[in-house]
Amino acid sequence: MEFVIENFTQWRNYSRALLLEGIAPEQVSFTIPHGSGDLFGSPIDSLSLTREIKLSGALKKVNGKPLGISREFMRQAYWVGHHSSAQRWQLLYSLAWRQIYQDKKLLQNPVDEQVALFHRLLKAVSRDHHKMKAFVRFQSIGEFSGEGKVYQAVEIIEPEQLHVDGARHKYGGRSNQSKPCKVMAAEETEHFVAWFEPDHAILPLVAPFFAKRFSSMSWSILTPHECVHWHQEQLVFTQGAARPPLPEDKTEQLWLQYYASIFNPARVKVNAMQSEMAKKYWKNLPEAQLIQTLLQRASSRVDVMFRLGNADKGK
Amino acid sequence: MNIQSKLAILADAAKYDASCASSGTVERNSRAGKGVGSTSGGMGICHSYAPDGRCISLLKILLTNFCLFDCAYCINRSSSPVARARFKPEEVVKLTLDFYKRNYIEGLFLSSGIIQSADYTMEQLVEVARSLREDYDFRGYIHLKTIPEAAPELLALAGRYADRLSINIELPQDQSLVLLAPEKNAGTIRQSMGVLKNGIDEYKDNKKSAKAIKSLTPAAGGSRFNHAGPVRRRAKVPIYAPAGQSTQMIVGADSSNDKAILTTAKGLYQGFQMRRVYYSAYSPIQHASKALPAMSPPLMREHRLYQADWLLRFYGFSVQEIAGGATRPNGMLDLDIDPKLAWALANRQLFPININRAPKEQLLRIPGIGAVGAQRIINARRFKVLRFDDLVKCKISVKKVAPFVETLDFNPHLNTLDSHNLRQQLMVSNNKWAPEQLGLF
Ligand code: SF4
Repeated sequence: MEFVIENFTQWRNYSRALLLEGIAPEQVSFTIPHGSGDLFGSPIDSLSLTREIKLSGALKKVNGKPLGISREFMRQAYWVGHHSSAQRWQLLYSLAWRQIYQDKKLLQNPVDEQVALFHRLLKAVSRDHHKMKAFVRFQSIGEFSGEGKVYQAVEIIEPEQLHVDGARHKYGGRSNQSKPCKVMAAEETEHFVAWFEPDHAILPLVAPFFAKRFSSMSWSILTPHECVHWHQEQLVFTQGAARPPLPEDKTEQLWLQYYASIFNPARVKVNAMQSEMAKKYWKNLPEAQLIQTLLQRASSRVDVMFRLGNADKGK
Repeated sequence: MNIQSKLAILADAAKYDASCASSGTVERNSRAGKGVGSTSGGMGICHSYAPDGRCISLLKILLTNFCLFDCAYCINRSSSPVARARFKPEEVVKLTLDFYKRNYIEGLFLSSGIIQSADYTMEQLVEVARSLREDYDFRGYIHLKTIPEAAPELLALAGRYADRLSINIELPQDQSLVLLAPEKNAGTIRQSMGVLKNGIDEYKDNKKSAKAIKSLTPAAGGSRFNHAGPVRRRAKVPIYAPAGQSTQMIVGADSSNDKAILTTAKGLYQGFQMRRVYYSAYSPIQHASKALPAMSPPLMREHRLYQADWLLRFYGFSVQEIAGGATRPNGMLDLDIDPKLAWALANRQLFPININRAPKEQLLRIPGIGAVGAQRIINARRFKVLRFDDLVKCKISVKKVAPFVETLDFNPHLNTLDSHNLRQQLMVSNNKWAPEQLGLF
């Protein structure tokens, strides 16, 4: 039996039926859509803050029959479902089956190969999630009068055109083409846009964080896999986009100044910096453009400190 | 002076403060609010890293670097010929919001030199926090550096708006403060720490009793209405610095040894329930005072102190065990190896420790095994008797632990433990300790 899985809900529905029948993992094969690159294959599995996903229970009980899958596993499986690995659905099925038919406490065994892989994928997704929360940089693209203005590659469309349900039909769907992204902007409202390239298609996981943090702002986060827009009410997902050229935001200059000034040249620790802020993120972090220069100038700045420090002592 | 020039001066002046944490506060978000901001209740987010390896989580600036005091170790002291600047409170408010909205920061860490008077300075700091909270409904993180000489009412007000408050202990020993920061007073500093502690304790108690009252209410957890009419909701507990207080100690500006530093730290953790004691290696500053060494900051020493601090707080070690007695007779931590390894080498008779039988406290004493690793071992051994290669699956560095552990199939060579070269060998990173026949590498 082969199942081509596009999103978590689909995996859950198939798995529920198969698990009830007791079908062993060796008898089924879960794959991702053919020809879709791992990443771009992820379809838009939209969720909004108002529609909190209900994972627990879904596998727990079917027709009154308890399946003995923990809430915790389902929550983690939902995250692993966003990993780009082609094996993820197969792995999740295998673990679900083994928990039901072999060992309820399987996940607590850190020396099991599949459990270890599961945790590796989970860790990768949660690290990606964490770094995205940290490294997304919004830029203000100013205020718009709402008349379908296009700012360079960023096309501005009015909120009415982009209702949640309609939006998914109109702009949703899978696409490998990177088209300019349509950004929804309300009249007289400052709009913020960020471009980010996560390793995995985690936007649906991380978008609620931004909605809760920046609820009174209007913003869009664009990624190659999909985009999300917030207009103070709902998260709206649209198809992936190409990196847009954004207008200059004056505050960014102040941020660069801050980054340069808070750095202490007497304590250079490049490895410590890089282990937390890997080079792959640098291209989308405005402040990272300063790193080279700051490092080059560091030692001469320290020399000056010593010289001035010692010169005073002679007095 | 424009904002950018002020920022250049007042961020530069703040860079010597080690603290950047935005953790440990209550959970908040900005839904149903007019402003922006959220906090997680747990760890804050590090939004960037400077080339000095430090995390940038908060906008860390001084309101002004003008200062009446003349603390020898400080770039802002009155006798220092640095460029001076002063922000207006509303400028800091705007900068914080502008940065926050672009997701550069978790919030603000505001400190200041002392101008006019301690009270006046504190009022200005509080005004920034007040405006952010009240005028802009800002729900991100605020850390205020507190002026110890300020009136207790102002400290109370600060706690209402800030998530975290801090007063720097500055130097490990009171005599050093007399010498290097003559206008400061160790007694006043501790007294104000006590005021903060009381405020924080009171807030915690109120929260607890509010919870207890709530659970006694018949309709608790269910509908707000029952047949007896509407149930009164619990009164809101006035907030006071929900992320507690922290402090900072400068390392290397006076002659205190590590044992003295850790003893002071321990006292601060116990006496004032500090959430963190930060250690800041004394950095050379331009036009430094004559009283101080012009040398590179002792970064390795600072690093070892953080490791030792961790062992004190979470691993059940005492100051004497890691920085005194047989382990370190001179009271200084070993710079070449970490303090736990140094302790283990000085106490070889306690090893090897049996991975399959040792209780958690003992596992935690093995160099190379941390809290997570110890828990993994405990989980794994419920399933089977552990062999040496199971440690790899528990993600433990076998290279580090090999000389100290015993498993079903492995026992470190007796002469390994006795070897006088063990320290040397462990310093050099190589695979010597992996038993070859297991083919782990
Ligand atoms: S009071 Fe604070 S700012 Fe002023 S000199 Fe002393 S340490 Fe520096």
